[in-house]
Amino acid sequence: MISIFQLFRIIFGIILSIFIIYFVVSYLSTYIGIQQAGMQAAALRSFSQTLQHVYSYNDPQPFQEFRKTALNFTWILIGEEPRITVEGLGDWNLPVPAVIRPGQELWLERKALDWGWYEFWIVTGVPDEFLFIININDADSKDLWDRIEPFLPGNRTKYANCHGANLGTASKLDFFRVETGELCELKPGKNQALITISSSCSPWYQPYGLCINPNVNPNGHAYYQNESFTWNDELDLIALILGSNHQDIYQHSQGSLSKRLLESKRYFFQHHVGLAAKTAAERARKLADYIEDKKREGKISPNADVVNCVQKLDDFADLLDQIAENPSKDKLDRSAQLYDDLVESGCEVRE
Amino acid sequence: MEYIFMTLLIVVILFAVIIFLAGWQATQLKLEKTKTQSQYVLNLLKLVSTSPLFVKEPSVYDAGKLLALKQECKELEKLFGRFTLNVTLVGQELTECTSDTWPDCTYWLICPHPGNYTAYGFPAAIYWPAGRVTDYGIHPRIDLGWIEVRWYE
Repeated sequence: MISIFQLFRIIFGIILSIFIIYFVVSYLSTYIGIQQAGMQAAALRSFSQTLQHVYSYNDPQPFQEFRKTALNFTWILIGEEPRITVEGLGDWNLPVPAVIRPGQELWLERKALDWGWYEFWIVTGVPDEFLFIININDADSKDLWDRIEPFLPGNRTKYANCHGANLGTASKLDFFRVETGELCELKPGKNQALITISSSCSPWYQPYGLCINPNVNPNGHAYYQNESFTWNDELDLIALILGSNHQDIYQHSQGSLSKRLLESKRYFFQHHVGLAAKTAAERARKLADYIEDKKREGKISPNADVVNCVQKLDDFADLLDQIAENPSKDKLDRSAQLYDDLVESGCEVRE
Repeated sequence: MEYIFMTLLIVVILFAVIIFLAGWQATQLKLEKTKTQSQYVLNLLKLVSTSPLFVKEPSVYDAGKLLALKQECKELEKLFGRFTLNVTLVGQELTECTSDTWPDCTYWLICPHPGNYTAYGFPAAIYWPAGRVTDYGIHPRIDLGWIEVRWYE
């Protein structure tokens, strides 16, 4: 027969044990959760540094730390600003211009558009485990593909046939080029995307996946499911290609990944090229003023060749002012021509 | 009675371990914060010394671009965060570069802010697009300078 004191000790012991076990378990689970979030945050910081390294030094890099921490990110737009988002960790700013297809093992490479007076850089990224199948079926498509191929990260295009028979031999990071006289009706499997480049692409005719019309009049067009896009340069197409055939929870509220990557590229392009154009215009005007001053001071002859630079520099600055407002492809192409002319006339030294 | 003392002892030890772990974690976080800040400024320095927005070629700052960027703080902040760039020519009397003094000037202070900052500096070259103008053209010049990047929390 147990006494009341013994019964009290047993009940008190049980209650205290439950309390201690509950406390230890909840503390440990919180602690493990914090540790896991800490490791993921460290992986994101490392990603940020790798992006900056690739961007600054044009040194292509693999990035595998998301695999180690089981981190899945995706791409979102807050207002117009591109961010990457991770469940439980929130949104992260990108330190440099980038368009990256989400994945756990990435290959990162810098690509550039160059107009002489400025080079726009962007980091492109593609997951190791993903295959892009590019279907080209007429001469215009082939010309466009030749333009965009150097901008693909990895740059290891292989040939394949429409039925995917050769895909089994694929190594990682491949872009498959399929050249046929007709459109390829292949339905891509998991971790594959079909991109068709064809003059037949239109809002009324789209094969499965992204469809790019190579004709430019004055802008090019591309179609993906029920979205249509205009494209201006090779990097627009790279953004669309990298985003194709991707599913995530944001596609209903923010549109397809192709759309988000294209808008991200345009955000970076507008801000970087706009700022570069403003500064280059100001620089050209200061240079023109300096030559005028030297002419007034009698340090150079009024008939010297260098005096012609003043008008050329002013024209160049006027065009750059327009580019700062709206960096359209035709204006940028014209600015590259004017810059070449400045270099040939001895008014500028090529970068 | 000894059971109660034993239980109390276990609870005290448990709380002591928790306090120790929490304290250790807080110290680690402080260290991590300092490390992250330093890393951030170094990365910013890397970006600023290679980005075509600032340089003619890596680590060669363009005196014309630096002058123009002085008026673009808002846009620079959007792209690179809140930072200050201080560029000074080495061994020359200090004259700030403005629209009136350029190119007869020796330092640029781009986007100055009040407050505490972490800074890193290193030597770099300054490219003058109009180093000398003759009847035959514009001849650039390169000077030695010191670059300091300051980052604000």
